[in-house]
Amino acid sequence: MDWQTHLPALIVAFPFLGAVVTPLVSLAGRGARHLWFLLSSCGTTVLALLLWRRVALKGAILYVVGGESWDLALPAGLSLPPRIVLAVDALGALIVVVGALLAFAGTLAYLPSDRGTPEEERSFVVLYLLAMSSALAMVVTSDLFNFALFFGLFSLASTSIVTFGKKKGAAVIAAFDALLFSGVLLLLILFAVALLYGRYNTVNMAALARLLRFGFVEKTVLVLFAAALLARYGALPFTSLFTEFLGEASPAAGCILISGTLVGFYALVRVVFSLYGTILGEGALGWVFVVSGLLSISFGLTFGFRSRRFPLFPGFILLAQTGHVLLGLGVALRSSCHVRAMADYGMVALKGALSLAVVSSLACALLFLATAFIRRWTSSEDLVDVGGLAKVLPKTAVSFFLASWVVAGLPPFIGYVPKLLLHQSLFAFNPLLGAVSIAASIGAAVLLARFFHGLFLGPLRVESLSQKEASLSAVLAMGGLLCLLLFLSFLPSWSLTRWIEPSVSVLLDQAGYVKIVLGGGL
Amino acid sequence: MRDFVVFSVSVLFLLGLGGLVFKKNLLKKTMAFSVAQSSVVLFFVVLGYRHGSRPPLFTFASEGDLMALPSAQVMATATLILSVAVTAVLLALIVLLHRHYDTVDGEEIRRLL
Repeated sequence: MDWQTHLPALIVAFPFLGAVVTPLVSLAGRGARHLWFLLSSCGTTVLALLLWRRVALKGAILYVVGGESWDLALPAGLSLPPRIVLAVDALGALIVVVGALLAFAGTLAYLPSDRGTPEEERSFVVLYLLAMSSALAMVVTSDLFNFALFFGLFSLASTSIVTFGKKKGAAVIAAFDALLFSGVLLLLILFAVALLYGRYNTVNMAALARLLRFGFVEKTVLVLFAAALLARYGALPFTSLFTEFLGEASPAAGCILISGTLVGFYALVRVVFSLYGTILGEGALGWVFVVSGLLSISFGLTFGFRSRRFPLFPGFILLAQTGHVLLGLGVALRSSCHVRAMADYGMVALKGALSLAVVSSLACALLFLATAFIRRWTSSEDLVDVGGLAKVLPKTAVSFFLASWVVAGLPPFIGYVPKLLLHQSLFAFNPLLGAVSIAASIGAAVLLARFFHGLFLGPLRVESLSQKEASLSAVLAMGGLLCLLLFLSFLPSWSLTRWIEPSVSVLLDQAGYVKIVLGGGL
Repeated sequence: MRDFVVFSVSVLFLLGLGGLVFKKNLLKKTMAFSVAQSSVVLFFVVLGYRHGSRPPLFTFASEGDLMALPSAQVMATATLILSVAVTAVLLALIVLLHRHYDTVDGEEIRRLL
C-alpha cells in the first residue's frame, strides 16, 4: 500500500509524537532536544508539502480513522459514518501547508531566543508541538466534535506558550483573559455540536451537510459557530484580547498564534460554505461579515495609530487585514444565490478574501518576528525609545520593510493581487464599500510607514543592544518567510491558479465535499 | 421532556456566562466557567439518555435490553476532560497573578499593571 495514503493522519500524528517523546529526548541534553524539535517541525512541514502535492495531483484524500478500509467512510448498510473521518481537499491542503510553514518559521525563531530552565524549555517544546498538531488536526478533520477538542487543545497549548518564562504580570493576565475567552468559545462550539448531534445523530460535517434543514435549531447553531469562529479568527469582539495577547508572545509563540488565526478562518469558511452552503440563501450572515469587517478595519487602524507600543502593531495590522477578508467573504455570501452576481464579483471576492487571508498571515508573521526580536534586543516596547535601528539591524529592517510593502497591497509584491481582487469586487457590489476598502488600505499603508519610520529611520536612540544583528536562526526564520513572499510575488498567476482557484472551487462545491466524504451527493 | 432539559441546560449555560461577565474576582470567573461547562456536559449526557436504559457496557447487556447511547457519553467525558484541563490552567494562572499582585481581583490587577 502507498504510505502516502496515511498522510492526513501522519500530519497530526507526527508533531504529536514529537511532543510526547520530547521529555525522553530531553534526558540527552539541550542540544538533543533542540535537534528533536527542529526535526519534528521540519518533518511535519515536509509531510504538509507532500500532502499538498498529492492533493494537487490526485484530488482530495479521505482517511477513515480505525476503519477496515482507509477510504470507506460509509460501510454498507449504514446511513451515517460511524468513525472519525479525515478529509483533505485543495483548500485544506493549502491551509495545512501555510500553517505548517508558519509553525516551522516559529521553530527556527525559537532556537536562538527562548532560553529558560531545562524544565521550561522542555515544556515549551512539548506545548509548541501540541499546538502545531492540534492546529493541523482542526484543518484535516471533518468531524465537528473532533474539531472542538482540537480547538480546546490548541487554546490551552498556545496560552501556555505565551506565558512561558514570563516574569511580567501583564503577560499572565493577558493569557488568563485569552484562555477564559477561548474556553467560552469552546463551550459555544460544543453547545452547537450537541444541538446538531441531538437533531441529526451525527457530528460528521459532510453527513450533516446532506441532512441539514434550515430551522430554528440550525439557525441557533449557525449563530454559535459564527460567533466562536469569527472570534477565533481575530475579528471583533476578540480584538483587544488577541492583540494584547499577541503583543506579549515570544517570536516563536507569535507564529503559532498567527497560524491559529488562519485555521480559524478556514473553519469559518468551512462551516459557512461546506456545512450550510446553499441553504443559507440571502440570509443576514453576509451583512454580519461586512459589518464585522468594517468594525475590525476601523478598530485595527484607530488603535494602531493611537498606540506607541510597537509589539502590538502586527496585531492591529492583522486585525485590519482580517476586516478586508471579512468584507470579501460577506460580498461572496451575499452574491452566492445569484448566478450572475456570483460570476460578476462574488467569485472574485472569494478569491481575494482567501488569498488575502493566506498572504496577510505570512506577512504579519514576518512583521511580528521583526518586532518581537527588536523588543528582545532593545528591551523596550515604546516607539519613542527606539529609532534608527536600520543602522544596526539592516536585515531586520529589510524584512520589516518588504513585509510592510506586501501588507500595504502595493505592487510589485504579492499583496497587491488580493487587494486588487477585493477592491474590484467590493466596488462592483457597492461603490461605497469599495471606497471604504481603498481608504482603509491607504490608512494601513500610512500606519506601516509610521512604524517603519519610528523603528528604523532617524537617529539611533537605543543605548545598548543585547545583539548587534539578527542571529543566524532569526535570519533563517525571517528569511524563509520573506523568500516565500518573494516567490509568490514573482509568480502571482501561479499562486492564483495553483493555490487559490482550486481552493475556491472546492469551497463553492458543497455537493463535491459531501461526495468526497460519503460518496454520492447532496 | 427534552425541551425542558434543553431549556434548563441553556439557563445553566447563561448563568455561567453571566458570572464570567459580571464577576471581578478571577476565582469566581473560573467557577462561572465551570458552571457553563457543566451545562454542556449535562447536555451531552441527556442526549445519550434513554428512559429505562442500562449503561452502554457490554457486560451489562442482556438480550432485548435498551442501552444509553455510548457516543454521547464519550463526548461528555471528553468535554469534561478538556474543561478540567482549561480550569486547571486558569487556576495556575491565578496563582501566578496572586504571587505578582497579592490579589485575585481582575480590576485591581489591571489597575496595578
